[in-house]
Amino acid sequence: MSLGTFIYTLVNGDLVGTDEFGNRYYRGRGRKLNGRERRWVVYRGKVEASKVPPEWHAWLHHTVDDPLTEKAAKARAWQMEHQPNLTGSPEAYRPAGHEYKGGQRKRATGDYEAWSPE
Amino acid sequence: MSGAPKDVPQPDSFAFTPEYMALAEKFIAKYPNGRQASAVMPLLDLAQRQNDGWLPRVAMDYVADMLGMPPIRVYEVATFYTMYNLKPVGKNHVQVCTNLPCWLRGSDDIVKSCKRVLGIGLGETTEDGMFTLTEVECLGACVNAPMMQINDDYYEDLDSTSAESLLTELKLGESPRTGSQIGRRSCEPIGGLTSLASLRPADSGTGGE
Amino acid sequence: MPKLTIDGEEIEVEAGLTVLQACELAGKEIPRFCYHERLSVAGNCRMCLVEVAPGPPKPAASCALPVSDGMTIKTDSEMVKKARRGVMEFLLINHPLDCPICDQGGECDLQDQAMGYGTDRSRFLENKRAVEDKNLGPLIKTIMTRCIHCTRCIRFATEIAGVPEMGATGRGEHMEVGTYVEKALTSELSGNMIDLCPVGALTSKPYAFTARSWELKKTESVDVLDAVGANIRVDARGPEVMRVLPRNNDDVNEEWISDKSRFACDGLKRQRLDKPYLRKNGKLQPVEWNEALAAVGAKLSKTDSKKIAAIAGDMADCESMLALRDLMASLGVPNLDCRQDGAKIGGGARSGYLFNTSIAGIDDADALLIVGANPRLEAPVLNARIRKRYLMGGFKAAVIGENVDLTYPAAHLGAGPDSLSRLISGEDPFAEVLKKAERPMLIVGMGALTRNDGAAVLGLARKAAETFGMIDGDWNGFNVLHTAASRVGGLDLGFLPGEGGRDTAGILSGADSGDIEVVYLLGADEIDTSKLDKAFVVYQGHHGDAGAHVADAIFPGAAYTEKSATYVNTEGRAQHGALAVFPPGEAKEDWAILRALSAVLNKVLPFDTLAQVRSKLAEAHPVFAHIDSVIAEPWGDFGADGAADPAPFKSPIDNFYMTDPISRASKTMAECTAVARGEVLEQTGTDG
Repeated sequence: MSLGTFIYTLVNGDLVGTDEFGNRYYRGRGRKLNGRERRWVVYRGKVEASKVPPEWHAWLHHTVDDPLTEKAAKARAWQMEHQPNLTGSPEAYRPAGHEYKGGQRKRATGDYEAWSPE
Repeated sequence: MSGAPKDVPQPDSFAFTPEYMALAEKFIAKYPNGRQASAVMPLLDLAQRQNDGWLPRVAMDYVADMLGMPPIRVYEVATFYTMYNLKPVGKNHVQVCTNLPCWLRGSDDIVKSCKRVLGIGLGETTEDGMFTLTEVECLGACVNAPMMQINDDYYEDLDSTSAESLLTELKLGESPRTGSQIGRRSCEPIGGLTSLASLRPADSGTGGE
Repeated sequence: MPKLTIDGEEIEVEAGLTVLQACELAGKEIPRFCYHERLSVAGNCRMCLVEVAPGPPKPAASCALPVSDGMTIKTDSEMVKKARRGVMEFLLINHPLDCPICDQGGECDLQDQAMGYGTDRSRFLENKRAVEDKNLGPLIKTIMTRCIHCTRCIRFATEIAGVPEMGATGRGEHMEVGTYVEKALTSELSGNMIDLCPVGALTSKPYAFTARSWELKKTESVDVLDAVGANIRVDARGPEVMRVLPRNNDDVNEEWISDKSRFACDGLKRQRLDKPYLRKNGKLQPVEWNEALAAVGAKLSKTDSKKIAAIAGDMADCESMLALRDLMASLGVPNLDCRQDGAKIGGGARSGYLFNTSIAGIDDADALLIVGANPRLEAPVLNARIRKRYLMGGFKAAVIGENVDLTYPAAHLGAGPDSLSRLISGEDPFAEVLKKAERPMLIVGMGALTRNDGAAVLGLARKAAETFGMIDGDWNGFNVLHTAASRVGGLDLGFLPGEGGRDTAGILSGADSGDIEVVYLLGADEIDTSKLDKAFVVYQGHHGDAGAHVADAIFPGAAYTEKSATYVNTEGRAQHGALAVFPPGEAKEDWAILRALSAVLNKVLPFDTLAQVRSKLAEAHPVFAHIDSVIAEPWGDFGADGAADPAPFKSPIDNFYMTDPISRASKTMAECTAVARGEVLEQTGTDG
């Protein structure tokens, strides 16, 4: 969080809620922008847009008036926990057969069987 | 129906007996040299007669070999014609016509009587191997409908009573009277002549033949 | 010549044509299923209906109607369109609409014609019939419910393949196409039924569910698994050859190919040499190209040129044989041979090792003598051509050699050379037939020429040809039937022992005794490799077969689908094959390997591109300048006099399905071998 955002949040922001990852969501007091209130998030830790879970994402983008936290609390057993985009991190997805995953891939169409002596 | 029947015990070998062989040679001799394959149908019929009314595969192969034709050509003929039986049949092969003219004249009753007397359904053989009941297409005796064929003989102008009695006779090993069961000769009109009656010779009843 | 009016246009066609053929000539497309120009007319699909006047006012089947003068034919009238729609609706009544799971999808006549001539909906609400699938062996997969009873497969088996095993049993709704008794087809051409089938009833079993026709890259090429040089189309997806199909060439294979040519392509994916190897401490180790080339170069330059030898195998292309020949010549090596089977041919006149009559010329022959060959196994497509000639009538054939079923009647005159001598002296009654024949021909096969007395047998065959007037004006009835795709090309290039050089047998015995120290095998596998243990063996080829196992250095080369190469078939017809997929791994085109080796040896071969190699080829022999044509060769001197061993001739092909490294590596061919040997016919899943 930059100093400018910190001061702006202190002066203009009303805290609406905090998600399970500790990101804090603010609503702007006073002047509206383009006819609607300003909404923003202050991340906990690294600034990374994909850290916002869906229930807050919808609120943040003015899709819904109130955050869907109640709905999120009633999540089904099969619903997976929100996960930020891991691309570029060591946990990023890599297909089987990738060098980092041992480099052993399954036989694919087009593969040929090489002769080996003995 | 047309694939090779699977659950039929096939004999290991087949060969014409001398009597049948003589007949077969007669049939083959009817055709010019190089056209012996034309004799395939009579030969298959002979083979069927010799083999208790049905054609095992070895018999078809035997006929193919005898006529110098590929076996598949013989199979084609044998499966095409319904009068070649590819499964064993009973001693009396009861073939009831159920085509339109016979049906209009009550062939359903005949089928019912047959089922009742023989105790089997269509396409089945009695346990003692005496009767096989099949439903066949038109046998060309529509004037005398309804009718059925048992082995080589036609039984015509049937009703359920006459059908039952003739099957019972067969069961007892007797040979019932063939042809029309109501006493008319061949395909004469049932109620006597309706035209040219005056020209009819007074003493004889020759109508058809 | 009858004059007809087709759709308002006047056209004059040859008498004896059918209306369908006349319409084709006029450029009108007539839909058809049962009609096929190389099969007899059946006229049972009714799809080719047209309106013909004069005649009854109803559509007529054009495939079975001969043209006559003054006919007026309409191919696009309302009546015709309605008739076609009706026929199509009837055909689709019992045809399952399972195109998404059908292998024929995308190349299906029924699919295309239903689009073009059918209606867009069906009025049939009843149950469709279902037919039990048949087991026709490891090559053809059947889904008989899709069969529309065009009977093309039956006619093919009966007429072209000459194995009447297919038939239509039952009648009406119960008609089924099949063999009645479950068995694998015994034809070497059975795969062509898959191409003939207009629907997906007969499809390729090895290719089942692997690719769709539109995702394949099609490359026109030439087959090398026998010496006929059948024209093929190689269908590849990515780096993989998915299937091989025939290509039309009326002069060579018409539109058939043998089962081996068609189904051995899965062998291209197994046992491949994909990197260079060098034997170090008694074990073959993978190495870099530079190291392998340097090691072989050092060995070659150290060795006395008289102690070096080279053998070209059965599938070597002409480019690589030229490169190897020139490289060996620059080293002064006299020990070259392209006849790894030891055939006693070459050196003399070119007509002494060609199929001079040409394959299309068989149609003109009226008598045939086969000496020591089994064309059914050695060249199935050529054998089908002979059968075609036999069916035309007025043709007599006789065999000296193995008494086998050739699919046409052939008198068996004897088993060995003495029978041939007896025929020449006129003791055999068949001599009369040959004498009376206007255009007699003789086929002498490798079964006769690879023997030790091969030259004497060739001399006898030559004598027979001259005795029976087979060389007469522009008719040359003397034919050598090769079994190897490389042989004629190698002989044309003079890939033969030079002055004082050794032939294959000499090289092998020399290697055994130590007189030959380095042997260069260009894809040569069908030799007695046990004699090569002492020599330093360089193997250049594409499969790890017999040759690779004895090699001390291996250069991975390209198989026939992986290089643009020239092959000369048994007629002496040079044809270009084309690259369909790239060679696997580090393998290279063969001539390029030899070019690289020549640079290591400082004997740089004078070409850098394929075009330059081909211009060198054209310089080496004029046949390479006349691609896809047969040059008539003058009668010349070849063969030898002398007594021939009376031992019977034996065909070099024992197992049709496995004759070369590719087919030996093929799983499909292994299955065919097992079935042909009478092992149990494997069951398909649906048979249970």
